[in-house]
Amino acid sequence: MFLYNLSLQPTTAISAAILGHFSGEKQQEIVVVRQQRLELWHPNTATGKISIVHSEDIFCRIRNIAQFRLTGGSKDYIMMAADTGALAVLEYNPKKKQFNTIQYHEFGRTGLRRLIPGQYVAADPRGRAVMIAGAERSKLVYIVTRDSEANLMLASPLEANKAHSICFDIVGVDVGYENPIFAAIETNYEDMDTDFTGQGLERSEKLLVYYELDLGLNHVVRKWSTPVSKTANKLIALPGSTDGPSGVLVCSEGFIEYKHAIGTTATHKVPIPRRVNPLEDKSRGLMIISSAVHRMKNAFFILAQADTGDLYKVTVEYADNTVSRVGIKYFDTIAPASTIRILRAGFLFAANADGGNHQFYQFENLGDEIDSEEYYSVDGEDTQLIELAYFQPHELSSLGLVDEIESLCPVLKSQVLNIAEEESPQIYALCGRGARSSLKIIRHGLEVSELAVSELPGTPKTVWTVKKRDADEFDDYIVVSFLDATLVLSVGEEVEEVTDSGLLNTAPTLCLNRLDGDGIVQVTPRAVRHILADGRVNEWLPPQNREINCATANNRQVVVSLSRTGGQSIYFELDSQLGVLREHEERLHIGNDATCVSLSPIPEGRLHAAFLAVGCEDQTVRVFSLDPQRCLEPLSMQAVAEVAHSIEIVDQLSTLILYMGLRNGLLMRANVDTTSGELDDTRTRLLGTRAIQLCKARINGTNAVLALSSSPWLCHAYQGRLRTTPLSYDTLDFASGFISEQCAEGVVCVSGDTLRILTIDRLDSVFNQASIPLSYTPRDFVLNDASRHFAIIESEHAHMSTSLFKRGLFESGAVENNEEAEGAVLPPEQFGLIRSKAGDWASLIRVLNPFDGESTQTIELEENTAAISIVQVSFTNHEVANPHDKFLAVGCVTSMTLKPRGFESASIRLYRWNNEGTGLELVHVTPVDDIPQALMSFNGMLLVGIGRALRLYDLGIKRLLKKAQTMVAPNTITALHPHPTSTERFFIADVQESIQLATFNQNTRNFHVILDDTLPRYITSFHVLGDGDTVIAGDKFGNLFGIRSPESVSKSLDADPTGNRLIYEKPKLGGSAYRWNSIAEYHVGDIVTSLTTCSLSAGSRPIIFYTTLLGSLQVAIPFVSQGDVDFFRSLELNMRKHRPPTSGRDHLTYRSAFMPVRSVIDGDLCEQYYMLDEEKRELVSDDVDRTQQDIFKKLEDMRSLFAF
Amino acid sequence: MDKFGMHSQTEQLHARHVGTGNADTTKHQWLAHQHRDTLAHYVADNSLATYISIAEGETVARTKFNMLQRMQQPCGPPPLPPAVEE
Repeated sequence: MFLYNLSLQPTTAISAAILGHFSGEKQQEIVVVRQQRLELWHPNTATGKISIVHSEDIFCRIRNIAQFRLTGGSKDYIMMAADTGALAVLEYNPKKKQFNTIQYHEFGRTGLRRLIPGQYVAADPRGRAVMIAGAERSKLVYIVTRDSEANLMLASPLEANKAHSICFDIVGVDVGYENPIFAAIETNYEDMDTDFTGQGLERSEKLLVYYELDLGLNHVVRKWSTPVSKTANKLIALPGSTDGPSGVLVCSEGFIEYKHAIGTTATHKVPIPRRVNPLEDKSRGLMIISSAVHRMKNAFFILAQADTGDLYKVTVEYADNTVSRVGIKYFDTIAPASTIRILRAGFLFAANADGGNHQFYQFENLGDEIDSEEYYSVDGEDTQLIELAYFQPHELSSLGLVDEIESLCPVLKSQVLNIAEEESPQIYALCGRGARSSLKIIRHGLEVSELAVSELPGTPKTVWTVKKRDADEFDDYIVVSFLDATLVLSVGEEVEEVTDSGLLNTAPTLCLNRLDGDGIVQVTPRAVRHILADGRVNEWLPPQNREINCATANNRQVVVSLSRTGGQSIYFELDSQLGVLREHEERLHIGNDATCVSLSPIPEGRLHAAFLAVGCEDQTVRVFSLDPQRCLEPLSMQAVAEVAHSIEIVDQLSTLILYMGLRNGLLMRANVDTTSGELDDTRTRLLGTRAIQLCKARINGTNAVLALSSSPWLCHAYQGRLRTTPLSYDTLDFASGFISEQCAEGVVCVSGDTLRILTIDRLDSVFNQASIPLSYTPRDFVLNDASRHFAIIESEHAHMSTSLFKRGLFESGAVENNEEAEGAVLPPEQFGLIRSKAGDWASLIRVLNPFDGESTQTIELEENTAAISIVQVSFTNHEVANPHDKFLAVGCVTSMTLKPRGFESASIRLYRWNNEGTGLELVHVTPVDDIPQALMSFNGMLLVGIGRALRLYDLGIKRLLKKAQTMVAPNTITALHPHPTSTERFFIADVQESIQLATFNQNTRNFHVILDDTLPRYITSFHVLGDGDTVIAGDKFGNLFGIRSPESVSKSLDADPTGNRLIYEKPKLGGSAYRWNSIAEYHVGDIVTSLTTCSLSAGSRPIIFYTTLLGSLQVAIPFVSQGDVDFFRSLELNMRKHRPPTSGRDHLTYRSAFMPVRSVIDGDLCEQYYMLDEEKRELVSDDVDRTQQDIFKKLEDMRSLFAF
Repeated sequence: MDKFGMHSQTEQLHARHVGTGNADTTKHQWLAHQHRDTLAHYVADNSLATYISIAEGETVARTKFNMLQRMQQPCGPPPLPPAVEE
């Protein structure tokens, strides 16, 4: 088996984000880190929308980034700390649209290590130095200078190591132009390791340390240190010099403290206000998890966010660089963010890593108007006592949500199903956590936003948009053509019908276009009408008994073709002196009737289109020259499988592309040579069942073609390649590009008897999601095939349900009745769930209809019980069960603690589906002696993994009846999977010890392990391929691997399914007698949460599809021919050689981070071929020994044949 | 004794490569180093930190902080050294 791994959707969680002018322009931009990707986002402050400008996979674990600007510079650089063992300085090149490494300094080994710097990076606010630190001991300081060409240079690093010290955070202190200072929170464990009294941890202290870089002496000194709280976790640097008091705010659990080396004798310590909650755990302090400092003229504004999601405004009052008072006030509540950033234009960007979407807010005020108490630091020496401060949370009042970027993170489980019975299957994913959990239904297709829908009198055929004057910015008319009439709508404040446009409205319109000189050409079956600027109309009429059946025009040329004339076409050209259309003396005779015509786009600097393409009844598409010297000379011909219904020539990626939509729903695409008009590099793709109508439009500033078949598709260029993507929208009949004040790049289209205006905003994600909110973190789900309802188990640790909270309030006497208790519950969507202590669980079982999002039943589990596993099961014990009954077994555990693993009691709850599969009724509860983490339906019985043991249960009247039990797993069984064909065999996943193949012996009622693995692998999910011998699995360290049973074992088991011959063989090396063979290894870089095999679009081959925790959707495509394997191997090798990742990490070692990569090609690296410049492409194609077009074709085929 | 400065070299290497054991390394020391390495990896790996934080019901930031905090004394205080026999 050889696999081609491709990410269909890259990771969506954001772990860090920085703000700056990375293109060197006035506009502020955001650079975000998405696991192994670096992306540049462009917030549009006029519209409040964020768009992704550039996204690049750099094949390393990015751990932190800092924004850096040289003194006096105007462009920001990116300082990147990753697992590369190096400091990389990156720059964004807006012309080439890529990140460039401008400085790269290696200092250690690669990998996520504790002693190698790379965990933290901080820059001097004045742009003179940068510090990079590891989790323990090491800190390096680089002086950053300019060379004679004003390029950024890194000097040799200066060490500021301190052995045995653990670093919690570092930050660059703003000290103006004095020697740069970096502040760090550290603890030292040296004494603890040798303190035998057991008091070490209590005696230790946490320090705030100032490291000063002496620019004169070129060394770093530990200048100053002061003890801070043992719970200090985060530093916020304050502006210094002329802008502020300098120094840092030290955030600890429960309070924030101001500290600075100079002039701080008084303490300034404010508590972080807490939500009023009578049931709170007072010992748990709030922790600041993200912060933003916004500098304004003569002032600054600090926002800090606690892990509840509450934002606080922190004020620092100072005079003469001495702080007099620190204040804190509740500001607003948003989802807990990994990073918050404040834009100068008054926006807040909140990147999310804890579930939920990334959000973009606009400031409505700075929190001054809000009636919430502000707490101030008390002047004095008393640092011990901080009383608890409280506030009453309120709805969003200072921030307004303006845009959201969808994020799948975390994806906990997913299934690929086609229960909606669409052309291609949908992905059902359990996403999010806590109050932001949801079931997401993910479909392949671009998201379309609908601006307007209006009914029309009758069924329109086509729609056109046109400007009146050449200089106009927006379209003036929307012209809708019916079977025998034309409706002209003018676009203005309102869209209304007009009759004075000069356009003929008693006949259908075949083609409409603006002509130079403020004219409009309208082609109807019986005339070519040129409407001049002054309202006069010049008409050209076809011969008697002949009608025009198709036409095309640009702003200087018009071509019409007559029906039943053997493809006679007339070519008109605008006479620029007279301003009238002039018929070309020769006519084009093709010999077959034309079905569609199209003009090529006018090249820049020219007046005329060079080519005319004609689709003919004889199943050909022909290209003719429109060059004045050789006008209407045939240039090339392409035979097509069916008669072309519609054709378009567009300029994409600086090549002319001819799109041919055929009557049978096939879309063909060919490149047109710009000088000879030859067609080459033809591709074909089936889009639907209807004849394809092609329509030009401009999307995201590029030329695109809408291909409208039974579903709409968009053909556009994205990151250097051509992409054909479906739109998630209804069937459309015809469309035209539309520019108006309200939408800069819209599309007006007709569908049935409606006129619609649409926009396609986002091209970066080819998936769109529908989201159904859930209550708690979802853990697993199963589908009831008959009713097509999902049963979902949700459970949440250390939180309580609202009903429990209400009861608690009532019992504690905080409220007097139920209504008051109801009022005390904050809406969880904004404020999150109510926290409780560790060991408490809130959990429920839900039956959900995915079509309308309605929960038909929710069973809230009482008494601190959590549901942890679920399976659908049917029993063959017909004495007890009705043969048609379907059951649901749910593994439950009461009062489970995580560290150490423990519980009070555990049980298996058995439910019966009722109400035609829309509800559940409890049959009985069976207590078990350990946590039932894995369940499986097995030969009409229930197989349960309980700790190390496998246990087989049959259905009884009062409880489940134990039928067999064997200790099999080395540690804990976490998952079970049936064998695809055999009823005796199944697969067991262990929490640490990989996968085992086991059999059940009916006679002895024993389970036997036949195969186990040589490597300890911490399985998170696995799937058995159809052959029954191959297992694909993912582990906790982000690896994907394949294992296969040895041939002798498979043969023996096929001959004797009970495995009797194998189970008595002598165990080998403390395990079973046989071992799996490893057949594939690949480091994905993110934990695989669900694996399955499926075919993703109608008619494509089955592939391995998997989702990862941080929200990526990926596929592993098995190669079918050795030729392809050799080709992609060679391509991957040469891509590694000629385009090493921007991060500087060696691609091969990255993919082999835990195990050497085996039999897997990285498709993401191969696809970067599209983004190479011409020179590099040539180099790679020479080395691969294929033409560029061959490589493009291969890459595209891998996607279009197997995925999308 | 230390003719080639071997001893000082070894000491230097030990200081540089924290966690390198010798004949006198106790079980507790060895374990503490193992745990510190593991915890540092959890903090550095966003994917694993998210995985753990979901299980614990905490934010990723707090999970990472807890890990760093535990790095100070991951296996509890050191046991008393065995009494030196006279």
